[in-house]
Amino acid sequence: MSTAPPVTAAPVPLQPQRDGAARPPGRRAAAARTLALRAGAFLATLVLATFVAFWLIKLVPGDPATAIAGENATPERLAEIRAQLGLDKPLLAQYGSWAAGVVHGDFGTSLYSGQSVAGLLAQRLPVTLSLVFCSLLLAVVVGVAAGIVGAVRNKRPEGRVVTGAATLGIAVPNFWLGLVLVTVFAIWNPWFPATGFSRAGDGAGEFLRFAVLPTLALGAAGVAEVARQLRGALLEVFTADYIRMARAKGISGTALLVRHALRNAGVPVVTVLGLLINRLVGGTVVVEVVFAIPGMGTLVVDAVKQRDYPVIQAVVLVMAVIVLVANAIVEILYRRIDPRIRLS
Amino acid sequence: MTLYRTTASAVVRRALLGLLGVALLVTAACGAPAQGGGTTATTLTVAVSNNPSSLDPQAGPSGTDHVSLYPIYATLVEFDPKTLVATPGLAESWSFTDPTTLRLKLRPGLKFSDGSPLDANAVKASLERYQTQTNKADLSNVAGVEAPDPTTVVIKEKTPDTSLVLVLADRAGMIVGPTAANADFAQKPVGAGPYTLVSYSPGDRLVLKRNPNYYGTPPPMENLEMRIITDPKAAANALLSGQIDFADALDANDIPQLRNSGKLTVESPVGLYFDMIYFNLAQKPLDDVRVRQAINLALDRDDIIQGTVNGQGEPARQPLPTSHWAYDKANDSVWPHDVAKAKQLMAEAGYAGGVTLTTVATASPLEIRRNEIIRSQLAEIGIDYKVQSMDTNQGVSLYFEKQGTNAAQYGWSGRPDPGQTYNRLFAQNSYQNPGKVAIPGLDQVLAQAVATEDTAQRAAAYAQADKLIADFAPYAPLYFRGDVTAYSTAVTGYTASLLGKPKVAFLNKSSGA
Repeated sequence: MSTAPPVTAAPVPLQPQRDGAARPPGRRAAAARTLALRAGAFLATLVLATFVAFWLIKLVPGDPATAIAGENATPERLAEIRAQLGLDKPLLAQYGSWAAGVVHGDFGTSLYSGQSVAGLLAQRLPVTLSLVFCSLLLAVVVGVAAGIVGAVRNKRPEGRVVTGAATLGIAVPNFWLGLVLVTVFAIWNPWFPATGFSRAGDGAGEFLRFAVLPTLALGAAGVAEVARQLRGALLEVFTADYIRMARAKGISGTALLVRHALRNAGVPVVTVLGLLINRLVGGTVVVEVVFAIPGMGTLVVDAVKQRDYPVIQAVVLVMAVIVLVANAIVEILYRRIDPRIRLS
Repeated sequence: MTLYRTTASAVVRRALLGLLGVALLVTAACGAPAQGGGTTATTLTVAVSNNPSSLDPQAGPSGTDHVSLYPIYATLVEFDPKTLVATPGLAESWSFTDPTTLRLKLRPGLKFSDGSPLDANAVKASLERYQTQTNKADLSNVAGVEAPDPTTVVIKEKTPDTSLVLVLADRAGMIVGPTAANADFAQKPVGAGPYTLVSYSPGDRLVLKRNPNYYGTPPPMENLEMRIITDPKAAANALLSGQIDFADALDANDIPQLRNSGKLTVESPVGLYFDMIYFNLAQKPLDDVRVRQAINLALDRDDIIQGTVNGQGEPARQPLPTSHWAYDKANDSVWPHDVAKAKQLMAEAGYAGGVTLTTVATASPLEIRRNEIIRSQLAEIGIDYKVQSMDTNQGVSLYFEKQGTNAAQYGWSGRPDPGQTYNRLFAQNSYQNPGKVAIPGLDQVLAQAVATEDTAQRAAAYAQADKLIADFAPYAPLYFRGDVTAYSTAVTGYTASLLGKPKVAFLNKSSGA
């Protein structure tokens, strides 16, 4: 778990100048070109990510035929399975036929179970997304609150507690935290279920009951990271002249914090959120196994063991889309928060 | 900072209130009483340790599917879980009318769970479909199936093989319903087992209810829920918290915690599954029988069992455990732990100065512990045991197909009939014998062993095979692994199967638990 050092926040003019009317001709075309370039980069990244995943898993010896044949394996049976699955074709041809299917909305079927990959994704994706969403929400709400406390009450007991807890939270691995939470809150005190998941659509109460422990296990590091970054950024902002100036103009504490200090301190926090989404998506692989949650994480772990290429590829594709979309949103948020990025 | 502190105190208060709010939400969520899937007295909840590869018994390849298949499908032949002797199933009796003809008499009036008749024609259709599916190798010796009358099935074999009877207690004997031809059969399976499937979410759970058309005594529980929990620690946690009533394939290291809970019965029945070192008999130094014998003598099997699976196992000196009907006591004295004799054999083979032996094993904490123990035991006789740990798929391909290492450290899961095990592991042309070296005289003895139905005669033939195998030492069997199983003290009626694939359909759970 790497942690980025606190990003330095620079002051933003209190009254950013609107530039819409003054936009010179040609800017619009440039914007369109930028957009097209971004979309192209987005697609190129997807192709690259899925191809690299495909290539990497093929580099490893062993293939689905050995998994499918199991102890019934004979050389003839293996050859038969390989021919059936098209595994005897060149790598590029295999990738090409997979990609062609995906373009037409066909994700293929699992080599291991014969189930439709699209069907598997439809069942597993909502589970993982809801887990990631809950953890992100936890990280933002608790992380921001704790970050403010840590900065405002810096060097006082509350501030020290936040700093200490944040350091600990970043250092603790999620699977270990998950096991501790289960032992304490499911076995010693039977308050929450030890394993499993309930879909949000089947009732909010049950959903929350099942989601609390995995959300804490997955989101704790995020809470710590957000709190640490926000605290650092706020402390930096507090020393800026414009805060002193605003204070001198008689702006009240709350308004000062929310409208001026937080806005500047927000840029590094948004950066952290972008990184956090990537990490949460990856973290589900471990946390879902610990809590026996039927999501994308457990799906991909099994698929890798069985060399179930279509399933692995589909999961990689979906996870790459989530990460890319999250990063695009982060970039849009940057522009809203910091007009200098908008201008350049 | 003094400038700021007072002005922001309101915000701090609000932030603290927010934290309190989150805490309240969490507390409110706990307010709902914790209930596992299995708290109602009519439902039994069990953990399944692997995702079924398919609920169609003819299509799925994995040996771990059986747990999920048994409740749905009745088999033609059943077996005594303690001894693996064949007992009546859908077929009430059977006999070989000549060495290659098996005649089975079905119980009258059998029905599938959907109400359609299960007669000789349905059995014929099921067996014939089996011969076209993934696991067709099980019936490769079957020449044809006939249904002369509604309760008689006649199976013609190519060569005499009495192990067919117990093959019909396995996948091949799980008779599939008339809807088997449908593309969604694996999602909506129809069999004649004690339960019938209500819903299936892959990777999550199977929900089953009692099959009203089951031929035998109805199962004690109305509903059966099978939760797929692949991580043994997660399964132990689900047991300890009362979410589930039964689980197997648990980690031996969790036994003390499971026992100390006071709510669970814990046992580690030994089954047919055993761990071994596979030898490539065509490669140096394993092409020399003295080296193979030396390895078997240098291994301290009790030490390995203690250090690897916390003592939950039985030393292996033949491919069958002590409780099996074909177990031969003479093998108890085979391969005692004798380092001096092992060293002498190594010297005679010309390896007094030491030799390197390469092997593959699965990368898991248990296997890594075992590798270290074996490595140190073999080091005593001058063997530098070089283990490459990798994922099973990769290792299987490297050893069995590419012949990239001298040896491999894997398990062998059981088959109902010992004939299958002996053939797969030791026959000259078996996939599991990558060196394709014949054990002198063995193939003939194995053919004799399946030419008779009489278990005493068969056991005698396997004893003879064991002698040939012990002299040739084509492998180093280590131990039969105890299947760490735990279930709620409210659960009764569990008999561990020697086959090692639990049958959970007839577990009873008393209410009030």
